[in-house]
Amino acid sequence: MAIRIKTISATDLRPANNVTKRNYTTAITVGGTAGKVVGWWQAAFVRLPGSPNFTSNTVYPLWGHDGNNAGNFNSGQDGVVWIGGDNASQGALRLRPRRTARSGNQNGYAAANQDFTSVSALTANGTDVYLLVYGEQNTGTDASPVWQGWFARVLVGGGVSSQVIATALATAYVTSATGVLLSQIFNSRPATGAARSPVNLAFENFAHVNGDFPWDTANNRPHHDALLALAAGTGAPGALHSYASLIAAQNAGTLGYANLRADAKADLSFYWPMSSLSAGLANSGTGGTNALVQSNWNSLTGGLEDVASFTPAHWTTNPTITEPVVKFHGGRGALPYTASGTYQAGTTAMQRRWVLAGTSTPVSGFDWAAVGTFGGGTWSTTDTLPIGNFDLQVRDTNDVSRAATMSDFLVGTVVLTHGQSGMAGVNENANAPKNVLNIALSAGVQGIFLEGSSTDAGGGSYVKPTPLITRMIGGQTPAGLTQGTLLMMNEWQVHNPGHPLLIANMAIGGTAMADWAANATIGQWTYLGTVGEPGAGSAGGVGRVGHYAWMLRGIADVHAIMWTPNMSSVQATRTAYADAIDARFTVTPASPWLVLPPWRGHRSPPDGSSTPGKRAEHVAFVAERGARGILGPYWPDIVMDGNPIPASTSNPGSLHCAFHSNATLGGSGSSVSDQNQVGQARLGRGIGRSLAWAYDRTIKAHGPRVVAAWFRDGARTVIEIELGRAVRTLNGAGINNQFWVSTDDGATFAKTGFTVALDATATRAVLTSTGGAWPASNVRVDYARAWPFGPADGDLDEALTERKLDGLLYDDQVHRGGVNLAALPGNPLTSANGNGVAVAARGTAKLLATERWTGTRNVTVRMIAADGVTVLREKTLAITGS
Amino acid sequence: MMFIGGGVGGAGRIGGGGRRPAPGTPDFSLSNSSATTAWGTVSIGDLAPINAPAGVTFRLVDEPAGLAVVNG
Repeated sequence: MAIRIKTISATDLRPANNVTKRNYTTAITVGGTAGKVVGWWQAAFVRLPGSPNFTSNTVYPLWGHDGNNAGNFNSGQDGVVWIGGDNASQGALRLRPRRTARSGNQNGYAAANQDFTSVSALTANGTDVYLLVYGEQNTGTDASPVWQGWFARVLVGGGVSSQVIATALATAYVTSATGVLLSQIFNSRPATGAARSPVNLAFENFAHVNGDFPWDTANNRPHHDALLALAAGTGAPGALHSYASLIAAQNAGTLGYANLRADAKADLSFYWPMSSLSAGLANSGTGGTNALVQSNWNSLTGGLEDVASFTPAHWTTNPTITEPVVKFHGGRGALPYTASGTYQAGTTAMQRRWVLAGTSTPVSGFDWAAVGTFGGGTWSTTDTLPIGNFDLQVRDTNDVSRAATMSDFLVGTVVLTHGQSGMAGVNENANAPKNVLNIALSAGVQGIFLEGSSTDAGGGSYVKPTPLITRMIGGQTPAGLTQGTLLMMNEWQVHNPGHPLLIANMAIGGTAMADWAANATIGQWTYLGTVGEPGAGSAGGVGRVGHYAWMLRGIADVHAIMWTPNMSSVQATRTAYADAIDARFTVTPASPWLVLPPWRGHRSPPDGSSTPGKRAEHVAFVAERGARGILGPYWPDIVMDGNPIPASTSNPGSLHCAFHSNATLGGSGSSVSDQNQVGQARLGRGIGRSLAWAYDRTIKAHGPRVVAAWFRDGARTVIEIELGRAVRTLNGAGINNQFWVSTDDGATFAKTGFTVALDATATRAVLTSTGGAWPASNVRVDYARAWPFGPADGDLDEALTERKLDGLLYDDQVHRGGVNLAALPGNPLTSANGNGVAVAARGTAKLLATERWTGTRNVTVRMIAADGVTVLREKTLAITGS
Repeated sequence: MMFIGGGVGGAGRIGGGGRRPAPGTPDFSLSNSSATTAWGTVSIGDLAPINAPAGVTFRLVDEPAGLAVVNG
């Protein structure tokens, strides 16, 4: 936009500090070159008002300095640009410029005012826009300067006209340094009189330049090519320019105009775009802070007003930034991101910087610098940003007012979910109603939830799948996301404060891994497909996975998978699935797989989802991923039961582990269910915590581990199990047994025929047979092998069932979920067949390290007599871990 | 000075343990005092009773994180 006079005698614009005259014979450094003897020039785009506002028999001051503050501009320090009114009485000055040039009471010209009557007359019609330029400069050399004043005007999109006053400026004026070259734009101070800035006089893009304008040595005048380039005038040669780009090219010697004085240099000291009354009033030049301020002189309101921009298009068109589909970059601060965009004619170089979102604070190491590639109308920059929330800014190097910003770009971790409804139901948008628990995102949360709009591309007839993106910010209570998603985000935030997380829900309810791996058809596309954006009329070969890979630019930092009951039992199929994912997420082919065992999506036996065999498939999937495999937690808090099976039973369950299908909330599940919290929400929390743990294993694991098991003695009626940490029940409850024993080497397990107790240190479970001795061989123990509770056990109300959880074993963590069982030795889930841990004959007592730690620590060991009480010896030993 | 696996009546003393017991006093030794730890279970060393009656067991005091005794 531009700025116009709306009310006469009301308001003008004044720089906070006057722009004063120098002794122009003093050499200075300008345009990067020392020893320059230069003058100055000023320019603005101006639109004169039409009749009757500009028709008085007067000369209208446009800008300059009025030392008497009387509106007559006749003090001894005044410098003024005037235009004669559109009145016949003005004679030769009618619609032509006048300059008042005074400094130290010395006139620059023969008289106080110099008229430029050879300049073509302007048109005052409220439509035509002119670039007006006045200069006083050295047209000779640094060693032998010649000082001449000149005026030029260019009709935007039209012709150019200029006049140079042949007589040199008076020496006393040239050397005087007391004159003021600018203290105001417009003249609104006088309450009366003809010379006040009339209504509809408008300005845009005002500049004061310290230095010399590009000079035409053949014609001894300001170079018309340069003037035309600024105003996009008729016949403008080569590149169009702004003030900044013109000066930059001039200083660099790249303007290329004929007969151009080679050594003219300049600095854009003050540049006010005057884009509006709220923008473009700060100085964008090199002369320091000096903003234009509205000055209201006569207590009138509405003096100035914004109007539509009227400078040539190349002044007002900014570069562009092509925003990515998802403004989130995975890679946890270690992967480069390439941004790109376009620029306009006249731009010869561009810069970029990254700032902290919503601020002007540069990210360390990413302040203004040249973009990576530039040419052919496009630019790009490739930067490896740290984890955080940023804005990208780009600008024309030579005209910083030409700029663009991409805001709210996140860098962090991308988690991609795999599976069927047990996983999808935690997050998916289709799982309405959402956030019925009214969960708020924790302070500091930064994240995005991403989902494709359609799992089957429309199903019966094609509908293009599109990204559904929901920004998550701490403090919000989103109604459009599930409580599972929100609690997952909050749990992540506990351990990764401020670390942005993108949750991409790729899982599809009711689907089998084998179909995904085979790239089978689902609706109007396929499960895998190629990577890209689906077409408007058909998917064009793109599939569900390919769509996600496209949206996420091939980055998935971690895969989270819980696939029950249709995880494949065939190793080759599991491998094919994982390979197909890697083949599409090509930027992160070594990302970890966080595998969540199926009891997290619990159904009661005999449903296949609850069997050790289904668990074993997940464990096998972990093992097959090698170092990339992470076995997720055993987490016994899920009391929600996926029954009914079949639906015609008494319907004790809440239908689905990850849904909130409470009958009172519009679902078809049990009316006594509290599944909104126990099902989906608990799953979300557990996944979030597991995810955090996968990256930060200083988070202490929960619950017991089966470190080792042995018979106490040759009688084999007592099995001792080292749990690795002290455990307890909650609320003083008795132990609700979750230990299982097999006497046929893992073929079958039972949790009957023995009692369970903890030893005095609570670090060891003691199973005591209630029958005879256990066999000498083929005995194995397992923990939490199958879900011990559920509606089938008689508690229809899951809220009551939850009390049974008090009898499980916990360590001293407040959080009752758990992350426990890494796919590593010492855990009952480490074997590929899920057959627990063998019970051995008691061997030599050993001291073990049960987790990763380094350094030297002192551990106190007691040797206790057979009575279990008497301490025979206690020693503190220094143990070193590396 | 550190002894590992001392004989009967020997030191069997690792690190900053208590005073050396008198001959015949129940004691125990640890065969090694360092290990390259991992997120799984790694054996550090054997705990061997010295001058101890049959049926002794071993326990850790104050549940130090990352350490456990088995077969004790």
